[in-house]
Amino acid sequence: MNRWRPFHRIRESFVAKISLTLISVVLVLAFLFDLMLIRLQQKAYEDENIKHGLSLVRLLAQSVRIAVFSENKQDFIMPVNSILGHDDVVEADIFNNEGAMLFSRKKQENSLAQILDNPEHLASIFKNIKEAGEMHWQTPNSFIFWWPVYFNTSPSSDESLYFEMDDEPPARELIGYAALVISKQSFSEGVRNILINTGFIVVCFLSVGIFMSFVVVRRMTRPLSNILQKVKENTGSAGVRDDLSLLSETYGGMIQELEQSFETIKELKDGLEVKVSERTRELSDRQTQLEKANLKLSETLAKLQEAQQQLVQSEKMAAMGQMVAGVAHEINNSVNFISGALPSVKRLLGDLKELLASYEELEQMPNGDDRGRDIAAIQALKNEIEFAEIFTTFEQLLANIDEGTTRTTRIIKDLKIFTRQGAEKFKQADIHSIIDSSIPFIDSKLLKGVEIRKEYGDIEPVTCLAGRISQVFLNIMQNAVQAMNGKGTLNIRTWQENGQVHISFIDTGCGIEKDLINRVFDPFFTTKEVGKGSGLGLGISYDIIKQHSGRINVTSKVGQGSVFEVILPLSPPIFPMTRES
Amino acid sequence: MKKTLFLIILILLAGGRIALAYDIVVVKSGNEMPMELVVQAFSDKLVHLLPARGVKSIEPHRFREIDLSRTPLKSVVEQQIREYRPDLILALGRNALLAVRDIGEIPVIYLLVVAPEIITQDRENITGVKLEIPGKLQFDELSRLLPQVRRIGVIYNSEHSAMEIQEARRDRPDLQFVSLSAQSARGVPSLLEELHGKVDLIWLLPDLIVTNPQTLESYFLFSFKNKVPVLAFSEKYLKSGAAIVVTFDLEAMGEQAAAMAARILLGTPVSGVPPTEISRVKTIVNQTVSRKLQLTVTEERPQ
Ligand SMILES: Nc1ncnc2c1ncn2[C@@H]1O[C@H](COP(=O)(O)OP(=O)(O)OP(=O)(O)O)[C@@H](O)[C@H]1O
Ligand SMILES: [Mg+2]
Repeated sequence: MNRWRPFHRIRESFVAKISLTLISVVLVLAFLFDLMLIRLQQKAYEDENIKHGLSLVRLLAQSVRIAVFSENKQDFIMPVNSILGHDDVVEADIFNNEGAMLFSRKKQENSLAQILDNPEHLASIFKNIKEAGEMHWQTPNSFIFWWPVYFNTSPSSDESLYFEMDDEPPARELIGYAALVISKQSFSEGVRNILINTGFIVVCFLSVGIFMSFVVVRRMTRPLSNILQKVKENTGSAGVRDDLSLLSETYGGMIQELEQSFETIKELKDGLEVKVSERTRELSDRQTQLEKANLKLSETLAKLQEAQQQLVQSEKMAAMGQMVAGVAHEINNSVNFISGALPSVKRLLGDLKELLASYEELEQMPNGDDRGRDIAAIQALKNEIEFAEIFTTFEQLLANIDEGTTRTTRIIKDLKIFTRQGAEKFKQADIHSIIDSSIPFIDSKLLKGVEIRKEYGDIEPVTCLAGRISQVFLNIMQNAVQAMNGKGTLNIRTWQENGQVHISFIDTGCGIEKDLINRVFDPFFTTKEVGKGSGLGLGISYDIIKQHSGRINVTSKVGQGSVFEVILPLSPPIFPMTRES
Repeated sequence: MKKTLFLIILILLAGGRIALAYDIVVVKSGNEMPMELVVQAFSDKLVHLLPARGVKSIEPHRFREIDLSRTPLKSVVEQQIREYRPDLILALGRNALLAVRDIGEIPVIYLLVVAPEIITQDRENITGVKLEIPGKLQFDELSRLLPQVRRIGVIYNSEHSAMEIQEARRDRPDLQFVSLSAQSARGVPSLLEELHGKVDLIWLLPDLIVTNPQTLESYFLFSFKNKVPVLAFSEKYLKSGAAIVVTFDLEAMGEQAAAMAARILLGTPVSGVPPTEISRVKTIVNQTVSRKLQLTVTEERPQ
């Protein structure tokens, strides 16, 4: 930025204008202030000198009073000389009360000559002193001071010779006058010094002040200068005019615009009132509509609740169907072990029967050459039926049958737990065995590529309705397996904490979207195709866990998986012994 | 039984009063003078001389005061005294003596009065202790304290104080008195100049013409300039610059008056108890001044 503009711009720059005005005001003020200061100081200095002179003449009057009393010339010398010892004191004169000069001593020519030669003037001076107690005046080169000389008067009684008399004030009598002439030489020097000093100080302050005010004005007007710059840019370089008129024009424009704006605001305000009342009416109409809608809604809600009740019932039926399907499949599997083994057993038994018949033939034949031939035939049969491996195969088949029966027995046992739910009672149950017994009911088609990992912790038995809890676990696991769509890991973790058992099902499935996570427990909420899911599974589970005074927490990340954590108290606080109905 | 005892005490009290206690009126000129001290010394001494035997504590001598600064009218004072019917009047100061001098038959003893004879004028019921300090007593003290002093300068007025100079010359022929007579106070400063170098001591006289506030300064100025001590007659001058003061002893004066009062109260007629001069003086040395004047004071009497 060009700090110091060319000189010819000064007249136009408002900064310069303000600075110049300020500086000239400061100059005038400083000049007046200087004059006043000098005047005051001079006055104070003069007063000081007069005071000093008066105290000197008073001292003189005091010290010569014995001499005046006795009118002894000799006695004057010492006190008068001591006063004349002061540098500026040039003359001392002593008179008695009749006006006769008793003593006079001077260093210069007689400044009082005129007065002393004029007895009338002198008498008037004495009269003045008597009245005012002192007198002083100035001539061009000297101060003149007068002071009366007093002396104590005689006491009135003989007793005062011996005692202090308190009540009689010390009476005094005017016995003469003392005059002192003090030259103005050092006084004028002092005044000159005052002039020089004051002038110097004022000049110093003035230069600092002018500099400071210039700097301050520049600082303060910088924002204004910026505005001005902008205005000039906007109005084009027609800125040959000076800054101040440009500024006032700009401000004028701004004020006009402001007034217009206020006008507009006022109009808008008036229109607004009308609009507000319209809106209020509309709103009240809306409200009545809303109330009507609300009534309808609550009716619908009642209907819906009814429907839900029915659906819950049908869900139960559906679950039952699913379960039956599961059970059938399982039993089928187990039976397959047995039925698969049966044809082989039959064939082996046939082979063995044939072999045994050949032996019987041989027993009944007499010994002959035929016997040797028959033994060879038996040997050939043995090779044919792989006699050596026949028993091994047999044992294998029996093991298969055994497996089939064990599985069937187990399924039936599990089914017992599951079916007993309606008439169940709260009992202490091992959560781990509940989980284990629920897993077989998961849809086995979906389970194929899924690994189930169990990380069972050390937990105490929980007082619960085991069948219902199993239903919850099955539901959660079923959802998890469904979410993984045939590939992934289901982690089941249990632990105990603060008298509560935590059961956590961690899957690596598709996960739940953030805005849906709060809705998964809502009845009928499902993301599955029509016919596949009813959306009631988690809703029912939620009710069951609540019945046990527990909680279910869900956390999930889309694409990574979900965690369903069931938390159950070791025993529900309000312990319902039976929940038949 | 009780009644008899009470009666006996009553009779004793009544009898004691008639026989032993006196009524005394003290008239004071004002408060500025050291009156209390004198009255105290007077009453103490009187009780000692005339003890109120046996019932002293019940009915001592009765002192009543009249203060002239509060009761300034002579007639009122006389009226009051007649009401009190005192056995004796003690007048302190000149104005007090003036107020009671016409009281008539009641005996009056004055104290602290300068030149009382001018006031009493042969009245037979008035006597007292004169305030003047005998020159002889002053010079005795002086010789004791400053034995080297021989030449004594004194300024007097031939009309008022010539007598004192004569008596002093007569009493102390061993001392040399340089006396100058002044007609007025104005003459004192120049007369003092004349004494310069001729004297060892200035003797201040109780004479208003030569000793007054106008001249005092000259005396002490002279004293300091020429290192000559001033012998004064009142404590008042100590602070102005007197080196030695030989003055009356207020206590002694009070006791002196009490002795006179006792004699009068016991029946001696007033004319038989003539006015006396003071018998004892008090000497005070201004230590500061005497140090400045380089005096060697041999001994100071213990106060
Ligand atoms: N482990 C999970 N991973 C991903 N989504 C899940 C998981 N568990 C539940 N969900 C979501 O929550 C919804 C509700 O589940 P819920 O069990 O209540 O009903 P459903 O499984 O859809 O039907 P139903 O269980 O009645 O056959 C599911 O549709 C699914 O979108
Ligand atoms: Mg489900």
